Amino acid sequence: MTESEGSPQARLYSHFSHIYVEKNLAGSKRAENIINKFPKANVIEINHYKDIFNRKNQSFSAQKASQSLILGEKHADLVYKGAPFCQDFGNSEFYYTSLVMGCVYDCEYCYLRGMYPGGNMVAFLNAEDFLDEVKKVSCGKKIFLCISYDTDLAAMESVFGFCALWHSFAEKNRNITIELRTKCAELGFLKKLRPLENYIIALTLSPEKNAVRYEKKVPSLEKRLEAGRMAAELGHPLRLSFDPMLKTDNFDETYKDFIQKCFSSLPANKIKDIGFGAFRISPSYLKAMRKNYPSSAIALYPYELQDGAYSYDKTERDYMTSKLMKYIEKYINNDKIYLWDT
Amino acid sequence: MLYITTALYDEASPYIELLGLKKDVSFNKIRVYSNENAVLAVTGTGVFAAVSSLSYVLGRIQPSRGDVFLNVGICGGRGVTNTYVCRKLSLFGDKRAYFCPDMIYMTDFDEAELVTYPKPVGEIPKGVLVDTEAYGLAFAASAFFSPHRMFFIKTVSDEGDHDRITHGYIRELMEKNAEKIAAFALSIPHEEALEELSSDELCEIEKLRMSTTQTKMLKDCLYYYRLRGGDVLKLLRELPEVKTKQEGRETLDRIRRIAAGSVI
Ligand code: SF4
Repeated sequence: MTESEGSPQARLYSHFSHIYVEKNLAGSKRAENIINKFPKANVIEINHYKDIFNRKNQSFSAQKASQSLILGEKHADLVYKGAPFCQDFGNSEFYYTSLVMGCVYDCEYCYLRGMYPGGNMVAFLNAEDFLDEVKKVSCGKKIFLCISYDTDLAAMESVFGFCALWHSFAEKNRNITIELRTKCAELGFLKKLRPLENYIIALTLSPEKNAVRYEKKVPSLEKRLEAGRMAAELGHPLRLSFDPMLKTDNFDETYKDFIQKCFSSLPANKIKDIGFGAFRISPSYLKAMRKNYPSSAIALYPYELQDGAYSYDKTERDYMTSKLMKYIEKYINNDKIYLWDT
Repeated sequence: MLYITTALYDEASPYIELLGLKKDVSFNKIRVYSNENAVLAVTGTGVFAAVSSLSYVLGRIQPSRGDVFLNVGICGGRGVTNTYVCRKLSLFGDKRAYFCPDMIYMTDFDEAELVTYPKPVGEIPKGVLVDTEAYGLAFAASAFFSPHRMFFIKTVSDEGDHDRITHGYIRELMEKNAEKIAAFALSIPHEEALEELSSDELCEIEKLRMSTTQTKMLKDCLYYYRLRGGDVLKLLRELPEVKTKQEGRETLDRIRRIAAGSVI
């Protein structure tokens, strides 16, 4: 028997066929509820989530092909100050928090490909500690808090229920404006949530061509638009995020048609605001991304390093930005458009 | 390359035959069998023998990113027979010492958890398999292999009643699934790797007399250019001759712009 005589390529386990649970959580109600959603899963007890998530030599791409779920608790660094690469929408007190690390979707431009040691998903079940910490950080002041940065929380709502949890927190803490960023099209859970001014649904949209090419496992543009329309009609504040703006062939036409498509589906008068920015990434993440995905066009592109971030060169970025701005301004007032740039 | 370890020669023999391995006489401390696709080490029994033998082999034949590690052999198990793939390996007496291989590739075998003991146990706890090597091997191998390319596939031979274990019995047990297990290990897909530039292309790059950093940047641009369907060799051959450092910088900039293409 030789390598070439070997059987056809090994079959993969389905997603979440294996669930790792910290020993002290095994048997807890929240853990059981989650595990029961995956009746066929093999459950493995572990000491600490980092024993699995932070191992050496992991393959992000292999794990993304057959993701495992890790249930743990986190007790430090529960809330972070907003990173300079992220959009603050004019909020000076900008924070983010991650009850879940890792995403069910698999976007080629995702910075998680360079940020995390592996592609599995970790959910922290001591959610109340996170809520308490946010309250402490806000200290009664107005703050802006992103809850779905290193994951897509809405895409996992049927499993974790964290969107609803944050919603009830927002209801009681009106000084805290929460942004739920998502590419999910299954937003039916919003029907059960009362629209709140301080609970914003931020829907990330990309031209169909880019979505098909770079956003693996993500619902189509069409479906996301439908979900966005539903959210807006229910009265939830809807933010649109055209982020990252990617350099593509026929940029002008691609983005012009895309914006037109968005606003033929979505009621412009119900859009709270819009954010966009060109693809940018930190040097260390880009390096890891290239290692994990050596033939990814997004990772290999010869970016320019400016102010600590890799992005398209300034002339091109300015060109793309001004074009996209022009297309958006046809539908939305300039003061509702937020641009991320270095 | 497939790296296999067994504790005993009787566990190894079906694999040596199946894979057509030859004794590697360059190893004189333990028995090692190899060919161009696989290397098999008979580590000896016990966790210390396992760790030191494996480290000895891996120090000599360093694995690369896409290689696969496979430990096969017999183990103890209470009230169970069959062959199992291990999803968790721990060390008896040390609650912090455990290793979970990534469960990404499916085998035909049921899964089990295994505890490695310092010596053979007569009284096997319920619900786990026991052996005297696997955790040590996992510990040593995890420094070299990705957790999704490490497999521990064990066949239950006894319930602690070691008297029944004879050479013939071990071989019989091991032969049952050897073909299936070897085929599985060989079916693990290769890692995605960046195809190097051709020697002609590298030769053209050398002529540009760039610094190490510039050459690295240049290569990155060229990989992207190739990904976009560009003819790298043609591009390099059409470049004007580089005589000074300044010209080198300009050339790099020019290639970066060509590779990136323009949106405007
Ligand atoms: S949806 Fe967001 S977090 Fe998820 S893979 Fe895509 S970019 Fe990453």
